[in-house]
Amino acid sequence: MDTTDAQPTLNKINQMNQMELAKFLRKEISEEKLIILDFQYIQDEIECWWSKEKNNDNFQVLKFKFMNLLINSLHESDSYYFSNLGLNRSKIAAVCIKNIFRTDCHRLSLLVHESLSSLFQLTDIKYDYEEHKALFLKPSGEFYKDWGNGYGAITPHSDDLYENLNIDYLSLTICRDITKTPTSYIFPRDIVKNFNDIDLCKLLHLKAKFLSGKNVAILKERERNIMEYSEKYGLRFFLDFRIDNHTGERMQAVDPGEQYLIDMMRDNVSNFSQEQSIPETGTFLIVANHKVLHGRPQMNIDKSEIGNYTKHSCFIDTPRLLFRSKGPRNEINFYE
Amino acid sequence: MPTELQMNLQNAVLILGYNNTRINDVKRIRETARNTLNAATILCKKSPTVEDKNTADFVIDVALNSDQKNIDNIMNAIKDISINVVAVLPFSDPGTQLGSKLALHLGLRGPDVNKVNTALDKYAYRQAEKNAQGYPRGYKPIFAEKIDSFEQLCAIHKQLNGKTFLKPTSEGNSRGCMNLSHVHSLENAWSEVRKYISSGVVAEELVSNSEEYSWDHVAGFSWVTEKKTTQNQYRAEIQQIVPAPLSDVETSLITNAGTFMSELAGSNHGACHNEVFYSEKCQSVQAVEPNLRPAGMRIWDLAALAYENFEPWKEWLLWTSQNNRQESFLNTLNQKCYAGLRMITAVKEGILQNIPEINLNTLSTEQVELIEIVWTKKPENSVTTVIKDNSDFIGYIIATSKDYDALSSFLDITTQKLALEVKIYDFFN
Repeated sequence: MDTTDAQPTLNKINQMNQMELAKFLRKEISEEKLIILDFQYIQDEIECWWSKEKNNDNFQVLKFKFMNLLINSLHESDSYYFSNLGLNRSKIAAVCIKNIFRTDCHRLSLLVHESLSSLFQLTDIKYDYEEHKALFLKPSGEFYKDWGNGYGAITPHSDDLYENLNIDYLSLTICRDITKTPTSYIFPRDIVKNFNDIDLCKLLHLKAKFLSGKNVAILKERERNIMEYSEKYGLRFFLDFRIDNHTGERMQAVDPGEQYLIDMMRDNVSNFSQEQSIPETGTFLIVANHKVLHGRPQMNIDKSEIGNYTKHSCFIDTPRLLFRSKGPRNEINFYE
Repeated sequence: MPTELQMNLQNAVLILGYNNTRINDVKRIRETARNTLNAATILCKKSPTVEDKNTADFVIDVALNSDQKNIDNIMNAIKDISINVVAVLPFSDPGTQLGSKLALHLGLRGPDVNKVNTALDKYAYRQAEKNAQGYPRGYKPIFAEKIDSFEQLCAIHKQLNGKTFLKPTSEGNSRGCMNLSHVHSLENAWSEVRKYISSGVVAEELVSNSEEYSWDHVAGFSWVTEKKTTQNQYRAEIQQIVPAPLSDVETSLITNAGTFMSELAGSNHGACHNEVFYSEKCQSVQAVEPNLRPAGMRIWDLAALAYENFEPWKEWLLWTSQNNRQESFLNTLNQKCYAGLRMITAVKEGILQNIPEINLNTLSTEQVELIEIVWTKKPENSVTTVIKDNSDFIGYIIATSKDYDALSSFLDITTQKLALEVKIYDFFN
């Protein structure tokens, strides 16, 4: 399943003329794909195992045993994806796994979530100023869009572009979703579909300022290129189209003369229909954060009911509960 | 090569701690264990961090001294997850103590429980050295006394004619080591080392007119590494080159000394990093200390670059799991090139502002290939020009060459160039 062609080096890309470069960029982004896997064939085994183990309160031991169960029971064709997400050689930008479990239990969901995230080599990063693990309607959520714990829609974005550390992967596991509100995602190929060669090539050098939003308790910002290439990861995009109630546009061109490129992309994001994940208990979605942007439509719930959920929000009765991890790929890296 | 899923979580290797910031080497062991032994990795250490939990497949919170309760804790934890331990890797200095007992308990290879104390306690090694029945040719024992008081320090300093070297008995990374011929007063030296007194401080005769080397060994493969230290009072390690550019006779003298040290420390042919001084003038070798774990400062990675088809991490796992293909513990390495690492020192004190992005190809030359540049300090870290131990450097480079002189000069010049590229906010300007 690996792409067999040798990947060009950065030096080689720098030597391409505009036409060659645009052709190369279009080819690269057109190949990125989402894989959907169905774990129905081990769901009963997982449920049976959980019914025996659910009283064990040592999470680390449970996780180790559960990973062992997955390792011993999964088909090799499914396990292939664990070590190939987000890499240039594979062109796999996201994996959505459905039917892993059916019991609505936050401990089981978290266990499945943490185990699969580890198998996909995601190192979860926790910042002191952000509550990032559980996503559900939180107090004042009814007043916010572009916030994971709010009611309103979340515009497509990649996570944490204002941080110094690159977040390679983002994973989400659905414990419960009676609102049937899916995670949506959009590929960069759809965001730059109508770009001419000149504008497309300009993106390689476009710098933007990224700001934190409602999700964190402090204001952070970072300037960076919106597109990068490396032999290992291929093309990676750093894009965030969210508009925060307080800080405004979360991504702004450093050179105002280049803001039109961001505006063109924003128009495309608004106009393209986004693909959607499966909003069911037992779905795990993991995306290469810089290969595909994720978001969410407005929550499918009557606005008049929201106050009841946000006032006394808790795991047991919240209508939509997801677990989230985000962080770099776990590998040897002496630069860290 | 097995994928993550094919790995068998029913077999595991136990890593007994890691020194300082060597978490990346734990990741490397995990990868090697998976690929070589098809086994998971369990990290045993006191108060594991989130990073530890993210790095190993499983962690056990346990002290690393050889108390029976620590062995019981580990045995209970591995029973909880129904795992079969196939290898025990003492990867930290304290871990050598628990590792030797645990390996014996599990019937696996490990250091000799009756001798391993000399690998942790520098004074215990001096005692074992003093009591040895004989020495290899050229090996000279070093005079050493344990000190408990300022008065004792003064007396020994006088006895050694002011040529004294102080070492905490159980610290690594050059921490607390001090050349007393460079300090302003004995009172200053005492105030710096007194925090180590409870765990032990040893005063030794200062070895002069000698160069520092290490004899590095794993599963019958050995080589000599050239080491350079800073020339101030603290003697932090600043450069390593593998293999050391020595004659066969000199290599043999150091190899014999290294082998002798590993026998005193009970290595049983496992991992060794034995540090020595070699005097060309006297053709003599004096031991600094034995270590029964892989060398730091990426020496095993340098050896993998310098020798043909040599994977020291893999050899270590095969040895400890008793899976070595060869029976002999006298194996030959074929040199491809010299491989060196040199630390980068900040040009001034202050707060690190910006690290340049460097293309490795632009710095390599016809004779020398630059393999890696690693920055160990990050923006907003404070940096210093006073190097007390290895953590005070701002980064390092690794390069290879077939020509030792070309490599040596490249390491020196390139690290100076890189240091000038780093922007530092100066406190006083």
